[in-house]
Amino acid sequence: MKRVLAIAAALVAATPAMAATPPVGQGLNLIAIAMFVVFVAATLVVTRWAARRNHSVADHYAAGGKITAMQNGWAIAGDYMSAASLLGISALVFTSGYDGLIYSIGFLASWPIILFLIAEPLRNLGRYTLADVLSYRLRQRPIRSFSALSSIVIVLLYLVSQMVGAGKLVELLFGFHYTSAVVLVGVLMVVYVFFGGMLATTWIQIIKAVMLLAGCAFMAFMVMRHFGFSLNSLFRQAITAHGKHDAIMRPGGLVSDPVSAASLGLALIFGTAGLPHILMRFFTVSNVKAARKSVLYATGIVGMGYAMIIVIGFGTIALVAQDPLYHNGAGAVIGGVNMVAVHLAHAVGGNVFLGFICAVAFSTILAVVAGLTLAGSSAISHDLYATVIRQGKASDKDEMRVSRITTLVLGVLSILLGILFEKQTIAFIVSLTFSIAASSNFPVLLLSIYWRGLTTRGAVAGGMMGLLTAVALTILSPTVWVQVLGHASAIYPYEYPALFSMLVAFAGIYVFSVTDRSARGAWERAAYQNQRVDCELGIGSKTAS
Amino acid sequence: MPQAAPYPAHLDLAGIDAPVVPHPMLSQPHFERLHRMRRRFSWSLTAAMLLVYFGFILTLAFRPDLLAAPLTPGQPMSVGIPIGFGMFAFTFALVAIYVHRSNTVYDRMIAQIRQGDQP
Repeated sequence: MKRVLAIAAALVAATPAMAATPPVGQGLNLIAIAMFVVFVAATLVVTRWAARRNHSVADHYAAGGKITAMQNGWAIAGDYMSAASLLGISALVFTSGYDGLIYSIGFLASWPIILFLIAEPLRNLGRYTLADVLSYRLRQRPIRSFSALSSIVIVLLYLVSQMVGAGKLVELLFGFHYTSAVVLVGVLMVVYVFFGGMLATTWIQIIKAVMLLAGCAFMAFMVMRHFGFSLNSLFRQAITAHGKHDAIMRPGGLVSDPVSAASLGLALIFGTAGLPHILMRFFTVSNVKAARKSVLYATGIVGMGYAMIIVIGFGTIALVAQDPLYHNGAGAVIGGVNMVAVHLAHAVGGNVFLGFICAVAFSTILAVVAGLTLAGSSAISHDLYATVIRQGKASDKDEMRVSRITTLVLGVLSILLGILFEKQTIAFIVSLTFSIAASSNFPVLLLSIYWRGLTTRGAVAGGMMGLLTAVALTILSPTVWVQVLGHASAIYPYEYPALFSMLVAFAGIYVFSVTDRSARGAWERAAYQNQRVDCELGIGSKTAS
Repeated sequence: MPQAAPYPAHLDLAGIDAPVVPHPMLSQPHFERLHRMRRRFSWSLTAAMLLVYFGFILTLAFRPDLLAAPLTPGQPMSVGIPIGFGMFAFTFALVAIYVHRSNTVYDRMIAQIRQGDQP
């Protein structure tokens, strides 16, 4: 550790001399690496501390229900603000201005929906996974198989997008080789989850969220200071600097077509309510009051974060777009437009702050993949293994062992997929993930809480139909059919599938539920009355805490 | 330490189920009143969020010019900027209203109902 600090100090001392060298994409970035090493060291200490407290299945999956509302709020915000939030949204503002704001509004708007409709029933009816809630009255084995399958698909897709992003980002920021970066991320996430479980995953997420927000606050502050704290002067400079001039202050092409606009909006708003790594956070607090308050904190933190990222985005136009230091010989931004926020960090804070933002970007990915891995492994060990395969007869020790084996498998799998997808266009994967979540997990979860008529048959059939429709329409859409597969024109003309795949899911669930004449179906409808009571009063969760 | 909550006892993994015994709470008018109030409250706020959000999105799709006008003549800030940031504020405000009302009104009602249930 001392040696690392010495290197960092030497680099700080050398900063003025290096100020004129292009900041990223030029081989090893030692300050960034030093800061990242410090972060990793801290997370390993946290993991060690958490591992000592990780005794039971409840500890492993849900940190024993002992996370406070404030801590959980930060952790949720951390899960939600991935590296894509800072780099992607600021890049979107950089290229098209106002459209970046539209995108981030959709992301934030999902929180009230989760809070009003999902969070409290989830806490009151479930233990570790969303399938706990579904199986309150639906048949354990089919519904848990379905939920585990769709959760694993979502987790794997999300993991691939994060792994590929991590590899490229680290290659660029730190000068490592792509493959070694992917392996490093994979190994670290397995270590966190394997030993530290939910407690370590939560604290790593909290640390990273605080670092990310602090970094954004500093950048936004420096941008505003540069323009005398006047948004109008910032915008005026941005309009002068941007090739599209005052078009950046207006809505652009992002939502020009109503069907794509509605589809994107639906996927963003309802997709979050179906993401297993977000939903599992509600099981880590002790009661509904804490679950509710954690959403309030998370919404405040994420909202502030996005507002600052928008300012940062306009700052990149004003301060980076015309600076030759951040462009290569051909006039393109070094490292691509996703790097504009990183360049801005250099412009407002020099090499040290640049190093800090690089380290934050990397740690953001680490924290998010750890959460995803935990969500994926609990779907396999708690839903598939303990309930479907062992029919509820598995001991805690067995379940924990399977969960850890799954963590290892997921780690290896995501490293392999990350390497496999290196050269692929993966931009569609994130939108696909949200679309699947909005069309499989979300409709089933929502209707299981609010519709008496739901039966196992309807839930499994409709949920699967929604999942498959989302996948099929994405493959047939312009982004994959034309841009990835190279066909001349797309069969499904719109960018996002959610509008149709959600319709298919809800219709499928409805039709297969109302036509379900089985005795079991009748029992499930009758059991809704009792579920209503437990959902409202949390009797099950009261005995649990 | 929290105990793992048992699976609801009436659920049989093999799918052979005892008849549903109605929860005693279902005959309590207090419970039904609370339940109705909460559902109505949750769904009203949800509707408010969705209306405002999709109103915003569809305005973007059909009448983007409404958001493009400058806020004050001669300044670069468009109407869309304060509306966009206002969406953040609106979202947070809805969440805050929900949390406040749940913490003050509904939690008290739930506590009373629970006490009445368990003498």
